[in-house]
Amino acid sequence: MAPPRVVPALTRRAFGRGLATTGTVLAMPWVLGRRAYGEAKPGGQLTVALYKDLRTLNPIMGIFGNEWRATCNLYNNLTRLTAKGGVEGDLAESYAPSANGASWTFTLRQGVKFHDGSALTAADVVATIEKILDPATAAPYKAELGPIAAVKAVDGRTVRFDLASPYADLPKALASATARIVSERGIADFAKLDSAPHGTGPFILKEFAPNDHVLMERNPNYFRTGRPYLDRLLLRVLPDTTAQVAALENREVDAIGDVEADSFARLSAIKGVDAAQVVGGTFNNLVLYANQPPFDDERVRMALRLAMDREQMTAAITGGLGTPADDEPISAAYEYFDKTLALRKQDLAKARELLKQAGHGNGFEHRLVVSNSPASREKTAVVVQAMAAQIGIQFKIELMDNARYGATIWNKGVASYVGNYGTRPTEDAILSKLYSAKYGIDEGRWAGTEAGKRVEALIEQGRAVTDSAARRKIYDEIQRITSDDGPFIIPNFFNSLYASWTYVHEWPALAINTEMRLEESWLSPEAPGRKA
Amino acid sequence: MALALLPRRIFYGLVSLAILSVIIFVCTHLLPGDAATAILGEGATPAALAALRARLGLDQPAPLQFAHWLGGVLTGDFGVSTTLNQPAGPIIAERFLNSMALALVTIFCAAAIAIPLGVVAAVRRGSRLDGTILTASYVGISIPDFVLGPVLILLFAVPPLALFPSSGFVAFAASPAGWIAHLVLPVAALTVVLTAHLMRQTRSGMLDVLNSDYVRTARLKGLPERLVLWRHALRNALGTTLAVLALDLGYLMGSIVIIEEIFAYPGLGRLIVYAVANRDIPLVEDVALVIGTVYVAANLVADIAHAMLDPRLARP
Repeated sequence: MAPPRVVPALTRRAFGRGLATTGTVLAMPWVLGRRAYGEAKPGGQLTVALYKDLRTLNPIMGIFGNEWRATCNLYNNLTRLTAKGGVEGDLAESYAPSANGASWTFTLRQGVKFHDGSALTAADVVATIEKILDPATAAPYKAELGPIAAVKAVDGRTVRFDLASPYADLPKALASATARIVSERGIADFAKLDSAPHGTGPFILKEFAPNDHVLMERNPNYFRTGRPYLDRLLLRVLPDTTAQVAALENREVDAIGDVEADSFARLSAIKGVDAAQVVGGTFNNLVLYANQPPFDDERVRMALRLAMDREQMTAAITGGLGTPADDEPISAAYEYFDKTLALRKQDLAKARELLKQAGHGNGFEHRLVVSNSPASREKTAVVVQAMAAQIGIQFKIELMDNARYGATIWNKGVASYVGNYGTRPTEDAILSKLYSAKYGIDEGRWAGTEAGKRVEALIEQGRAVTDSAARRKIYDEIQRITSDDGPFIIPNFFNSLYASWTYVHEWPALAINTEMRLEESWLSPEAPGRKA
Repeated sequence: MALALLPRRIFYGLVSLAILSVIIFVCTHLLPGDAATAILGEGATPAALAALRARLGLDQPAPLQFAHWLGGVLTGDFGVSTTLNQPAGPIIAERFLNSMALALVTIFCAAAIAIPLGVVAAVRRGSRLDGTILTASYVGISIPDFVLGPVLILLFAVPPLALFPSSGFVAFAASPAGWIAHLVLPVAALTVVLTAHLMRQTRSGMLDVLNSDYVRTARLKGLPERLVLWRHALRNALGTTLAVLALDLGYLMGSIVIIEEIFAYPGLGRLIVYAVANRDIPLVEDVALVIGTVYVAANLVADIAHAMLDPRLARP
């Protein structure tokens, strides 16, 4: 077998292609637009537009990006992700694994106070984590915290996590949106947590109208002295993109926290608006069930892969606001992204040959169900359909309401569909979710195949090893196998898109676009939010 | 006396609402998916779904859930929204007032524009003015509100004009001027469609009356034309217009779903879209009941008003 061809990452990811005219391109997630603005000036109100649902402020039960964008300003986690994709302590001052990797110990900062004035203690952390792990809670993202067997308060400010199996990523996993630290009183009053937060965060809730707005005020007792700079933070849900762009242009809002790809060009054209994009890890995966015909035959899956022109597809699906992908979920936004993996080139002759060998010389028809939300799913389906038609695979697309899709199609094993996943804090979170039958959902019913078993074993190894070089080797191999044999078509990753007026400084443009922490952000004197 | 109609009309209204609530309940249960699948999203596992259904009471038999909801509503308790986990009553009350403000201001504007135009068009039937008004109304009826909304935003909310806020809402108590400014564009969008409709109804109602025997009689006995129009024709023609206006209130309750979404206006329309998409059945039921009640009440008012204008209808 020929060794994989090494293509420089920039070529592979086609940075800048078609992007030059559409705003600032932040090629690397950690190269943020840190210009010299001078001293940060406290005060003022920042108003941020958000696009879709914001039902609850309960971090444990939230599933929508906007809910996380709100809660990261009301709460803190034990740890937080850095702009470089690493992790650092947030409420935890320090943390370390035990020698055998069977547990992790976190030491809490001193002097942290909840909004109700009570001090943060280990008991609050224990109450929060136990509530998430309790099956009766039905926390949607419980599995992504990792193999936590028990959590104990060693003393007032020391918490120990006992693991069912070694887990190197625990500090990063604890930075995920679901694991915001809620006070014991908040956990005891769980039913009210949807609208009555019990956090330590930089802002205190003032007003919450579900799916309409969240108004917060500066927390004067925040443990990071001098932060936040803003006096008030208002999040407004604007469900129509025309209205959203108009609101920004009018300075009725100062920033948009989750720009839709269709609005990006219009936003970039507004003078004085910083439209920024960061390489993200959000993707749509077209699911090919590996345990049922016709995609149980790996030649058919490979034929489909070879029919894809990924650069062209990325341009069509993202409008140039994304990077091509190789049917696996690890993007350049992740620490262990394999830069050396060459992007698969379209090869229609080989694809047809493989189909013929598999007994589908005349092609075949296949049902593909697509949810109407987010809209990018339909684009992905239509573009894959066009590519597949070239080798005689005819996808019959069926558009469906999202709630119905969720209840009857998603992960039900009944038909191919287009899934949609956001960027996760760790490689393991998304790999386990997609490929592991033990920790996740084995979405492509692929874990039973030989390659699938190998990946499952590698996922297990990746969790246990702490050495960075060893982990890189493991995740490189997973990316190679899943890209060659896996049960998905993933043509591209979507960039995380932001827009803000230049008078907004230190806007948190991160790869994970749901961690919209605004404690470092501040406003220039010309900001409308300073005049009112 | 018009009021003699009232008890029977109210009774029919209540029966309609009871039937409506059963239909809505059955329909929402026929839809695949429930609040648990909506809340858990891609985090749904069989165990988590079962646990959440138990917590939300979704594991109870459907008739029992319905009886529970109905019992609550009859005692003034609108239940708890399953996905927002908050009492539905206060949420709906606030949204109801917002939507009613939008609807009533629209009705008022539409009537103020449409009725005079309709009368003029009928009186000057066949004239160039009539033709212009008719054409304009065709255009108004033809533009869907999901097009009109964004067009109004692009024309009037962004520079260079930037006359009004693009979207959102300010409470009247917080700032009356802000409240009005935020109402202008959504009201304008709703008014355009409604005016066209109402104007055409007024015109044809007026034409019928102008061709009737009693108007001819009134003219023949030498009454001034102004008196003929105002006292004899308009009073009779308005009956139809009022009935249409009441029906239009129901139509508006449908249109606000789209307009409220476009203008991020926190009313019942946005609430019911959310509730249906998330299978929040108590909320769907409550909002449907409120909208149904508005519709029934509007028709009731129209019937009574019509009866007052036309005493023949008041006879039992």
